[in-house]
Amino acid sequence: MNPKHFALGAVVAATVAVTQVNAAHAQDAEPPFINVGSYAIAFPLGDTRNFVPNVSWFGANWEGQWRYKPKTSVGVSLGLQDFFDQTRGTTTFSSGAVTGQQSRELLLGTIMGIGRYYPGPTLGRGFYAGLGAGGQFAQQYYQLGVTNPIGRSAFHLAIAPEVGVVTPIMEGLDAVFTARFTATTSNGDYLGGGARSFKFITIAVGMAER
Amino acid sequence: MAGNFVRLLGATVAALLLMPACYGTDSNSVAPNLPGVVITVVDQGPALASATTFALPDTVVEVPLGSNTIDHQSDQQIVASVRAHMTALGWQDVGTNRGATPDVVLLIAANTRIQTGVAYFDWFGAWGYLPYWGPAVDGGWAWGVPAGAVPYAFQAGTILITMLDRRAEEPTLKRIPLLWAAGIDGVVTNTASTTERALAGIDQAFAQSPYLMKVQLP
Repeated sequence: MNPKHFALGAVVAATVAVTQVNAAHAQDAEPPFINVGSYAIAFPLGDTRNFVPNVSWFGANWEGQWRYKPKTSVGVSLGLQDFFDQTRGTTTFSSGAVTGQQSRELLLGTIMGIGRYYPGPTLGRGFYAGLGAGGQFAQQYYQLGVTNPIGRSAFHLAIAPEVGVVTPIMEGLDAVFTARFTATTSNGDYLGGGARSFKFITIAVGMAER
Repeated sequence: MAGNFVRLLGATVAALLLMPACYGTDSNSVAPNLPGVVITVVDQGPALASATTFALPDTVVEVPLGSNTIDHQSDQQIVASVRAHMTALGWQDVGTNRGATPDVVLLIAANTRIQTGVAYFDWFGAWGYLPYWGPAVDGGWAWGVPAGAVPYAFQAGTILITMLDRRAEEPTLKRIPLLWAAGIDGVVTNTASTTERALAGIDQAFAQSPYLMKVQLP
């Protein structure tokens, strides 16, 4: 486990744990603020899949939501997702080929403003549909053999429609299940040349403190 | 309070132990005795397509020159392996006579320092001048790298094979076109497996370079 993985794991643990611990002291009415921490896996799409085809098992999200209208909340969402792949084989390029151990990593951080609509009787409970808009910072790494990794990074505009369901599990504490599609603008000058758009679908399970 | 502690502990254990374990390592299709990295670059233009003859000096040059840190016991086997691969691919060997006029010249070096790219100026010092070109081609010359080739920092312990186009030297630029190059990284060591790993790496370098083939294999 490298320091980055350790740090991300610690963030996930702290987010989930603090949410759980604070929930014991929270109220169970329609709250002015909802604090959500979640663990997320992600499925790569498009350029993300071209660079790292594997499912990402390493992701975390934090969201803060404020009551806006009786059935609507607005808030902010922070997310971090790490896609990683390590292979030992041959990769062929237009100008040659490489055989050996290759590591690819794509670290995607998102920050979005997010709005949600809850059709049920209670704000922050039951089925919801939402839409996020904001930015994504993408950091791309490639390592061949034992050389220093080559890195590229860029900032993208992002939009993320989502659906989910929130169900109470104890006083002041809800379970949250979310499916989110994150699409970005094409930008940057990444490995292999040119701009990329790193899309992915996230499935998240978390806890909401009310 | 105790319940909160249990939840906190459970979440911490799950996050720190379970998630990193989900990372997998995909090891496949590469022989276990293969060196760390085998990288090849090529210029797949008409010059390579039209070349049919080669010369291969019986020398493995040390880079840097005179470093004397390489065991040359493997040299004959390395040169023989490269020659065998070339002839098997349909190339014609013109021998080692410096008066010969091959289409391409293959030069082999063993590198004991970190070196980026495929320009090895120490080779000029090894021969005094590059064989087959004559004294006019001195240390001020370099060879051109194929377009799109990615610079790569070879670690110490690398075998380098370079295929140079003898027909197309560019006096104004002092440049010799490089048609193909292979770097077999992590080979040259003091261990007994050096020869075996070097030969496995050479096999892989030619295996991942199908464009060198001049004959159709049955």
